[in-house]
Amino acid sequence: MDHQGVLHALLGLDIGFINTRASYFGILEEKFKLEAFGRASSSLGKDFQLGSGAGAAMQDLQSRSDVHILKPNGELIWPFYETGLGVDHIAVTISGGPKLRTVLLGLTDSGSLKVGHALVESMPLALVASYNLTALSNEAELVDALVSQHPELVILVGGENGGDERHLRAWIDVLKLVLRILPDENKPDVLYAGNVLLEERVKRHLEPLADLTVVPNIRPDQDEIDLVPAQAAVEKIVVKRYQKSIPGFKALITKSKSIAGTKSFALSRMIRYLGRANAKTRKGVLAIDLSGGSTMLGAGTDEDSGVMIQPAWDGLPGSIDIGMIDFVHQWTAASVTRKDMSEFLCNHALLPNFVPEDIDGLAILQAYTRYRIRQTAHRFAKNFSWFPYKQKKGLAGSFEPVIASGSILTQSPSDGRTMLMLIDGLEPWGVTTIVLDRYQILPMLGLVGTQEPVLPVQVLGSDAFENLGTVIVPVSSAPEDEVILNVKVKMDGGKDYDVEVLQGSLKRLVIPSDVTAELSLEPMIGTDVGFGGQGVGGRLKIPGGSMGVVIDARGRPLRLPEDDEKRIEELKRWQVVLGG
Amino acid sequence: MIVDVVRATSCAEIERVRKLPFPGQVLMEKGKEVNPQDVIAEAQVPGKIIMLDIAKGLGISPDETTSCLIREVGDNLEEGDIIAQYEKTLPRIFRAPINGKIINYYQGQMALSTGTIKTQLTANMIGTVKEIIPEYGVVLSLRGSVIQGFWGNGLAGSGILKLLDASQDKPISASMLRDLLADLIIAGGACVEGEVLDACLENEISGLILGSLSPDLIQKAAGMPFPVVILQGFGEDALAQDVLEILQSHSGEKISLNACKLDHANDERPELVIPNDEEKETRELGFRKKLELGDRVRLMSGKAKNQVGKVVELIEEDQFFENGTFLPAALIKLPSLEKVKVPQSNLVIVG
Repeated sequence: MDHQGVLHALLGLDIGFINTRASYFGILEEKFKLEAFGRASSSLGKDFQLGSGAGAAMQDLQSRSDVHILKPNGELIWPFYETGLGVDHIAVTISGGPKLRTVLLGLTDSGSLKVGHALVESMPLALVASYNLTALSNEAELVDALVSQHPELVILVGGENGGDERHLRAWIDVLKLVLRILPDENKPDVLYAGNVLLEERVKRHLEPLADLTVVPNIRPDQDEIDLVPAQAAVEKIVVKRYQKSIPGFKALITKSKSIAGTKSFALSRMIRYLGRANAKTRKGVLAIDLSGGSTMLGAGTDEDSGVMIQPAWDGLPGSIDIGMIDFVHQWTAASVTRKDMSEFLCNHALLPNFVPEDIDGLAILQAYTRYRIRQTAHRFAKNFSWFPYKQKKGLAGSFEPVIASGSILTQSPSDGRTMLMLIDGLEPWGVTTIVLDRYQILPMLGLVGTQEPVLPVQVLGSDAFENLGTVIVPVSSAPEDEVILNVKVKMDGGKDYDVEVLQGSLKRLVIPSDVTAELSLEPMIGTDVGFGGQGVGGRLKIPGGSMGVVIDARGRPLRLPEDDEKRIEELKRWQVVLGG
Repeated sequence: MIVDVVRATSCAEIERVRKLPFPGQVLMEKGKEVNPQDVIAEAQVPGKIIMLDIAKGLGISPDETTSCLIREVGDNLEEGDIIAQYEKTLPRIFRAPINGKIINYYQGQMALSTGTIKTQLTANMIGTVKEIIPEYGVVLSLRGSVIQGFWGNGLAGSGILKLLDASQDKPISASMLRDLLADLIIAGGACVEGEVLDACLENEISGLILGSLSPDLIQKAAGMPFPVVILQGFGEDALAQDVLEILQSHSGEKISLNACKLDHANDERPELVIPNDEEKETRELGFRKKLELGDRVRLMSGKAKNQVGKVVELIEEDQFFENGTFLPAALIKLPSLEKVKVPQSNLVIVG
């Protein structure tokens, strides 16, 4: 940034559990663009300084591009020089740090605590205990339990604004006791996000005893939920604690006019922005990140939005869920036993950065990816009732685009397999576009947007995001192999053609990346293609993509043959249809 | 690329920091020898809180109660001590029902701590107290062999090492565990039958070291009352040759097992240590380390899985593998002199 405050170049650093990614945003033809990208192992842990992994990612970025951001001694060139060297700003998002041990206090499981859980699961927090007001009946036991849990963060929620105060008063008294007992070195941060009438009381009693943050009620009335102020406060607490607990984090974020935040809250910002920007289309937006340490799902419409983080290995290897094993076995496109699969998954959980080098291992991992997507979508729907996902139905609402990221997707041998993992996992309905965020920059744009609002807008419109293809899902109860949809395809500068879509089929229409096409969808009576009911069709103008158009008429929910041989054959056939 | 480090060495100067979560009292002196179960430090915080309704006891309003208090927050009380006294028309007193410490008072309600919550820190290894960390804990040290693993059931203990005869060829069977002396630490290859764990329980062994464990036995192993450490992972793998050689040379000696859970956030790994004074010492490498040429590594995938080799090349370009993926790879020279290509992510440094 020069003396007039104009931004020329920004470096984004995303610190994940396994990898640190560096992305350089500069100005080309008067617009911000992603100019270069680099990656290196994250240097998290007692033996490292976080900056060394970040430095290696910057070196990688520099070695792959013409961008010059480092001095010969490895130091960052800052500020930006008119000659084009260096950067004005650094933005750091982090998702790889330890989750804060969190205790949630509230009134009822189905009310304030449900919303509290949604808050906890949207941020890098580990819930160690959650108590409703029945716990107040044995205060002595409760205080002992809270002290023994060594929380780093206590979140107190509950009560609608203006509602009954008695129980929250009791919680404040208990918390006061607990804070008095805990040694200074172990006092948790306290976040109050409950009934507004008690804010003064909370401040009076708890502020002298702990670092207290008071934010607007996350559930001001029965029908309203607002997690954003609480998420922003949690983010500050997380960043503050990481500066003490992660070697090198403080040094990294205090230099070069840095801004820092959690990846999940940055994604939440971006989802809110995109949801509102999509208002005209009446469609929501969905982002899913499948990284080595966690699965992150964000979804938003013009009215609602939410984010959720789930651990990638979900209890493995400690507890093996039979339902999970059955599901993964069913979706594995290779002949493997349940035992082999359990071994593979349990061992993978012990070594999170493991990558399969053989066919069977990759088939298991890609099946497990479908499980991760479905589980996260299912849990997301539990936290956010507006999200139209049902386990036995799929994602019935209209979300476009679906923006996907994560090494399991980007390291996939083909875009077709990436597409299949996403379609099989989400089971979308209607029409959607799948976009691949190959460089995992979407959350970064959310953080950067707080400083330079135009940057995300311009980068989103650039080629940093890869249009994988358009997915059309006709849903019908017609018998197998019956025609349920006719599609007329009109390509820019190419010849026109018609396609008949049979019930149960999976089809791919090739639309090259540099071409746009107009599709006319003519569903049979009884077929829903998401245009407003059965038999209702319409026209679509779509951009090309590596997968073109995928017409998924396999039905909802997706069903696989019982017989192992036929099942594997079917899974492989679908892979072939989408290019192998 | 930064990869995990797993120790498997016959001689090292091992140092482990053991710290309380909050300040307390260190119970050991510098130079003292410890066993895994020894308590080395403890901390106490007030606990067993009882609430006293002073206002109700005196029959007055909460607002009036404050002026009647004789004792204040922080005071230690003995049973029968007067806490509050009302001296107007009908005098009344409120006595402590039990020994305790006043930790809070508000609006006629008093919180009395009548006990403590004790947090104890055990040594979890054989060793010597090398350094005291005032109020928090100690640095323990030991010269000897150390072998680290991937999974533990959270317990620690010590005993005499017994290496099962058939540890290499086939999975352990319950019959191999007949007529064992109690307090042994058993080491073997793969455990695929629940009966093996039952037999360990019957024989009252002090610990179990396995090359691998069948995943369906994880829950059962987690519930065993003795420490269980899995060195290689889940499946039917025998003990790796390098590990077997170390264990063979110390069979019959006293060893200690810290079967802590693998914790990437706190850089903790389950491990066993065997005190000895061998001369050839290897250096500490930490929990994770950047992979470099010459590193001794264990292969976690491919046809040479579980073998230990040496990194002879870190290949610059991503390499193609049979499943169609392109990955950063390394060339590893095996003891047989054969060279194999492995994804760098699937290597752990053995130090």
